[in-house]
Amino acid sequence: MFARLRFQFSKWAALLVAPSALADLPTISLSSVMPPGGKIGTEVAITITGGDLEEANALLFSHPGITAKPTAEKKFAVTIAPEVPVGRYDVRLVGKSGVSNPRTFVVGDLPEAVDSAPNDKPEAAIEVAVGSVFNGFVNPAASEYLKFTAKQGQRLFLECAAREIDSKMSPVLAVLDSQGRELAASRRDGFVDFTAPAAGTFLVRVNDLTYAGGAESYFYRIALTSAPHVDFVFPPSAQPGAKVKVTIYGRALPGGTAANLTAADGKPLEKLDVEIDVPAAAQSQTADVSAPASASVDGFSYHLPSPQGASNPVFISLASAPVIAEVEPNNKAAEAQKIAVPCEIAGQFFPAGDVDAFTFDAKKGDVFWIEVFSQRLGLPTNPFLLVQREGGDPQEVYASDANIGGPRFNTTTNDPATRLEVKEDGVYRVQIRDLFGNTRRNPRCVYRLSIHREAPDFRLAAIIELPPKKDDDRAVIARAAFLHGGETTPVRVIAFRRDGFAGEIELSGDALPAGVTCAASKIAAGKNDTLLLFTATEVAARWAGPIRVIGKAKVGEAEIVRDARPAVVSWNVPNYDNEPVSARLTQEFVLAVSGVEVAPISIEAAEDKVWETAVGAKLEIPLKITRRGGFEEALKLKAFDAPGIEGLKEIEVDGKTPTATASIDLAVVKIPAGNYTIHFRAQTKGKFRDKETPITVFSAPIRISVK
Amino acid sequence: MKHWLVLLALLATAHGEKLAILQIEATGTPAITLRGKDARQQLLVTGKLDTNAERDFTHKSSYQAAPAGIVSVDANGLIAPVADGMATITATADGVTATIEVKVENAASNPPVNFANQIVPIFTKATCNSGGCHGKSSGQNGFRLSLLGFEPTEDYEHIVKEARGRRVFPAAPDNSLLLLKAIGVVPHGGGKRLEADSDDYRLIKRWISQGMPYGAESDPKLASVEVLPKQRTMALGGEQQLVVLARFTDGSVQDVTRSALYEPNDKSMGKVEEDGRVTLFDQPGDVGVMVRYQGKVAVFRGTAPLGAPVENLPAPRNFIDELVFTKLQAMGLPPSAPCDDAIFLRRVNIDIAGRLPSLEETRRFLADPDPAKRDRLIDTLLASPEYADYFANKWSALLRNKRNEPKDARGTFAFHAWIRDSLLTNKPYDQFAREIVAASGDVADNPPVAWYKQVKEPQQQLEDTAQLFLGMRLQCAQCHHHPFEKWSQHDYYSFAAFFSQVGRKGTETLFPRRGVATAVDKKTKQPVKPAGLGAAVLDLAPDDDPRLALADWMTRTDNAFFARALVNRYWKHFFNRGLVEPEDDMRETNPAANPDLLDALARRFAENRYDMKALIRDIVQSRTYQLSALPNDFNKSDRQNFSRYYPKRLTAEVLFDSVNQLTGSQSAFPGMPAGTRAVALPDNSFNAGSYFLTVFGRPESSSACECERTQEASLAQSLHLLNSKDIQDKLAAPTGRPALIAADDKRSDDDKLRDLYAIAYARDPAPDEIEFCKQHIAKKTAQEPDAAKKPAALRQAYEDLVWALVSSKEFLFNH
Repeated sequence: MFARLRFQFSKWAALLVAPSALADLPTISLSSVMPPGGKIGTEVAITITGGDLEEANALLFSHPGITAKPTAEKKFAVTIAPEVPVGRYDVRLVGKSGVSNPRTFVVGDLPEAVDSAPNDKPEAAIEVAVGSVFNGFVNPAASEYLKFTAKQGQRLFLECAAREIDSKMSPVLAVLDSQGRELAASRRDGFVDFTAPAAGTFLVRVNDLTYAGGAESYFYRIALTSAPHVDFVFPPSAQPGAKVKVTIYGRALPGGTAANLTAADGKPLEKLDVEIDVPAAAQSQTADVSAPASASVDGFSYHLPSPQGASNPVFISLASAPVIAEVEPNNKAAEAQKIAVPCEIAGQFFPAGDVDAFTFDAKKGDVFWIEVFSQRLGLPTNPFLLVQREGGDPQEVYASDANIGGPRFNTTTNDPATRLEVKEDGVYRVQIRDLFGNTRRNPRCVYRLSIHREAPDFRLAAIIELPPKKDDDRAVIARAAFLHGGETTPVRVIAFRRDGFAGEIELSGDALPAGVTCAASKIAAGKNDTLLLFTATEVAARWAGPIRVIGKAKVGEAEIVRDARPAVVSWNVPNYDNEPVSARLTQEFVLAVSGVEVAPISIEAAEDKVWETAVGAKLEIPLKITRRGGFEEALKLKAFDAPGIEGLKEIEVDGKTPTATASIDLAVVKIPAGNYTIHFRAQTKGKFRDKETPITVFSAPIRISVK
Repeated sequence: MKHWLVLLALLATAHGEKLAILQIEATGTPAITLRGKDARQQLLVTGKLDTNAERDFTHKSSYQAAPAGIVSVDANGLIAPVADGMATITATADGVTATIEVKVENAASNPPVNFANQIVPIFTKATCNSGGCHGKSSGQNGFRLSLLGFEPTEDYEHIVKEARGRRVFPAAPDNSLLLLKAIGVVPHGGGKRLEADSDDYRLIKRWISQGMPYGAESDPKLASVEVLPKQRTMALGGEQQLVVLARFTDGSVQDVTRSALYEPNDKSMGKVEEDGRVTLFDQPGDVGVMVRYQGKVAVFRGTAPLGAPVENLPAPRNFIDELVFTKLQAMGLPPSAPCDDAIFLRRVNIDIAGRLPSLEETRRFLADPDPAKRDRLIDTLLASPEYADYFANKWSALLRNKRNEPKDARGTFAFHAWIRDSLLTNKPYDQFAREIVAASGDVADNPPVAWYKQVKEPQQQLEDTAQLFLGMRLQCAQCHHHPFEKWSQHDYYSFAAFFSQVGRKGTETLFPRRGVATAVDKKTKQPVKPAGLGAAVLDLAPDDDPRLALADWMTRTDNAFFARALVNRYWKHFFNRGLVEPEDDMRETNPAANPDLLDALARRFAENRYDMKALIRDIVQSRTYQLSALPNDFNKSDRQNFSRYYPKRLTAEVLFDSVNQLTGSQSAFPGMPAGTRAVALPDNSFNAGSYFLTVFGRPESSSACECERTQEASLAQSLHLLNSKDIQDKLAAPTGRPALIAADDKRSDDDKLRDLYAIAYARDPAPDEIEFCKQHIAKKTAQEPDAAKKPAALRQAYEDLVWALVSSKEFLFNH
């Protein structure tokens, strides 16, 4: 009994306790969209669940061809225009309390059905038609049952999406015969390749791996289809802007031939050569590879079309150089494949324990970066490199443990990268293997090995994440950017630096609505993150829509400009030490402005100007504090965002006075020369919408210049 | 017992048992040479009876040496030198004689004593250096000896140099504290360990008087020990003198019979005196006597046949029967009769699928006239998901699939599912083991990594691997030479080196770190390279994952341990007794009850490419497995020859599910679908909330030892079945079986009772059982005068009957 209570508590904690105990001003949230997808060219009735749903009467999709109108409370009619391509999109809910976190909405080309009745017993299994999609959810401590009819020898695929559509579920599927015997099962990737041993009706049992469940968070989509299934594409990358030929490895490929390869589930694979158009440049604007570390990978999604419908999506990344395929045997140093650098090698960690060795000539003074892309392509690999001059000592290259995103947006990757500065002319050897691949035979585990001349660069991610209130705060909150009148809110921007780029990155907001500003900020040289502050005027009008966060940096003489990849946390987590955080990249950075409610407290400099001072001098900044009712407590303002400024004593402001002065003695608080955008923060509480609400107040950004 | 006495009397008179030939053995050579004053030799006198049986006459012979003055022989056949020369020893028994030549050399000489070869064994024999005494790591009362004398150099330091040298006193050796304490003249916590007039005392004294020499570097070292005879068929209650020979590196041989230590592997079979005399009790069977001398071991196997006529053996079904029946014939141990269909059905369902057969299955099977129906049933069970559930439950505990905190659930569920899938698809056992031992990756993608999450340290990894997959317990060898084993610390750390390159990222991700695999030998402080047990040292490249090399070595078809460990483990699963017992302690000194059978099972398992279902099929198809559990006149006390099926209590999980099945109730494990069977639970975490599972011994997945599951009976278990709320609620549930059958007015009590017996016992009730039950029903309903309450009384009667079935031995046991 005790155990049961404990488990239930943690589930409740995740859903309810965290937002009410820790959240700032109410912000709308979206838990589930049922069904989480629909067919192209149809109207779909959907039901949503979420929190702070006052006036939640609009949906915002990441494709303009998908629109919705409200039909009843928490219900919408969604129209999917015929031109919307098959794929995954983001949907957000808009209401009085801003715009919600996104949920995935899948656009497909098959008829769809929705879980309409209890189906937690085999007798109550819901019939699913072949060539359709079923949308449902699992209850806690239960399995759900579906059924379908198949002819003897008929081959069908069950493709279950859960994590990919923001569900918490780890789907376990089993196809059972009439006696309840398992004929096929999948416990990890939600994919079952099933051939009916006899004509008849078959049961599909669906459950979460640990029998967790709940309509709001353990939802799934299962396609029962004979459309092609793509296991992988080789090479996994292509040069941008070209028409290239790639080989698709998969099942039921129209016109495919035997590949003489066995997939990890023991089924034979087919192959098919196709020609594809590679976009000129893409910053990975696909929902299909959305792990935080993948923000540094550029690529696009591909679906193989067929009369039975489009295949599952497969990610193809953009290559850094002409792609060369590895040629076996190349396991031993003596068999190393000769290559010319710079180049990009496409290879496979296959069969179990495969090692691939390559040699190339390099001249003294050459500087190369050797980088592997595999885990970031969404594969369960852990590549390892050995780099050496023939006859010299090998350099071991493991992936770095660095996590620039922190525990709330873990960017750690298993993909290694290293700099090779050639000290002598000679033959150099690179050897690659998968440290996870010793006992595994999975041809899907491919890699890209890029050997390119040093070309410093960066990628950015903009994360909607409030700074922790306390040092030991381990809570993670799923939310969106939302501004009340007169409010300032932060967005965290992190930089994935490439090829040793260490310079400063200037940040700015773009495509902002009227009444919203973003003070230019920067990620300092050698640093990986900063906060970017967005401020609404007191009278800014109601608005919700995508904006851009842009980073610029000088590399030599050239200026590089990159759009930040937006990112969110998908679920509230009370303690990230106890539960994994699900964070992902999104397709748009969406901001909302209330237009009807104002921030309880605004703090800003009395004048909008650059406050100039000198090293060792004193700087006094008069502050204006506007209170708009309900929040009468005294404030303690703490300064942030310049080197050393954390040492500044908190500024105490009583509950009445509308002004304060920030006195910064630069002889004590040793801020070095430079231009900075600082801000003050205070934690307080008061009544908002008649409810006691703890908040963190961010001052508007204040620019200072230290000479 | 009465049968026994009659039988023994019959056996004794039926054979003449007259001594025909006598032979003196001692060193296995036709003559004996004694060199030096300290040399001794135990004689071994073997008589051949007219029945061709061999018997020990060492203590039944009288001895004479001629000419006199060369050697002395005592009544036990121990000879000692007197003067240089040649002599003939004659042994006489029942008027039959035998002789052997003895040559004595250097009888007067006092060669320097060698501390390691001669003094340390005395401490070991007298148990001075045992783990409970001076041998424990902290020593005893300030005096420390190495455990069992494995470190003579350290012992020398402690005796000669510590305590300001007062332990030994060369000027007056008898006044040495070492000797005064040993003979109990000075108070000694360990009491008197030596006699003042013993050879051992004199030897220590002489060593002290010689100035405590350690011995020269060039002195021979102990190479091996040998026991004579190695094997003997003995009479019930008979005795056998053993002779233990130590072989040294210079080729010399010494009799160490009185210095060696003896231990029988089955203490219910017999005992061994300190002088190496084995005495059997009156129980037919095998006993292995482990002989230890200074870290070397040898084993004597004594077999005591019953000698009853073995007739009407069933026709062997397979090699198992051939080897078991051969043994039974040799033992004169007639097997029980074959079991009937009902017993077989229930037995094999429980043993393969961990559940009782359903009512329908029982009815169908018992009515089926097909003579091959047992084979068909076996195949059906092996193909069932319940087989995978049941054996996944077993392996999940051994592979320590433990949930320490709620967040571990993803890993434990995934690992359990992986184990279950492996069994369901009949993954070859070598591949199964390899995927665990060499697991890399993240638990979510590669669930066997969970094993490394639980088994964290390299030491644990090697010990679990050895115990689980090789049937070898290496734990002791971490700190000292394994006392019952040949494995040294060097072997231990060489094995540990296989796990030296395990790298981790967080707690759930594991990868092989590049580098040359080595482990530091705690004793020598030197790095050692990986080597399998008893195998050559491997030279691995830095890029090699040593765990793959380990898996390669383990799963080679000629590996001496891998297949044997598994077949022994599975044999025990089905027969409730391993061929080697305990099943994961398969050291050389713990011989199998039927070594040929163990070999044959292992060989066939390897030849079948480690097919676990095929192994089970061989076992349960055998006539041996299908013998009745009811003993005949001869085999009641048989515990090791498999002359009958040894009943076993249902395991906690199977009993839990069976009670639910009989009472018509459903489990409600937190977080699991209602009705989840206990054998299908993914990890240990459900024990805490289930008193039933705890009290009947479901393991906590904390060790690689099957012994963590307790199968003992306890009062708490009986009380739980008899008067716990848990069981009462199941019996009295309105949706339970008693309520439903009581309310069914379409069927007769006879039919209902037949159903209950079929569910509980997979058989029909006997007429007197039906009668008894009906009387109870009649009594209960008659006692209730109010007609409106009669149905409640009837339901109560059925609850009582189901309760009685649940509490019966026939239900609680697989038999």
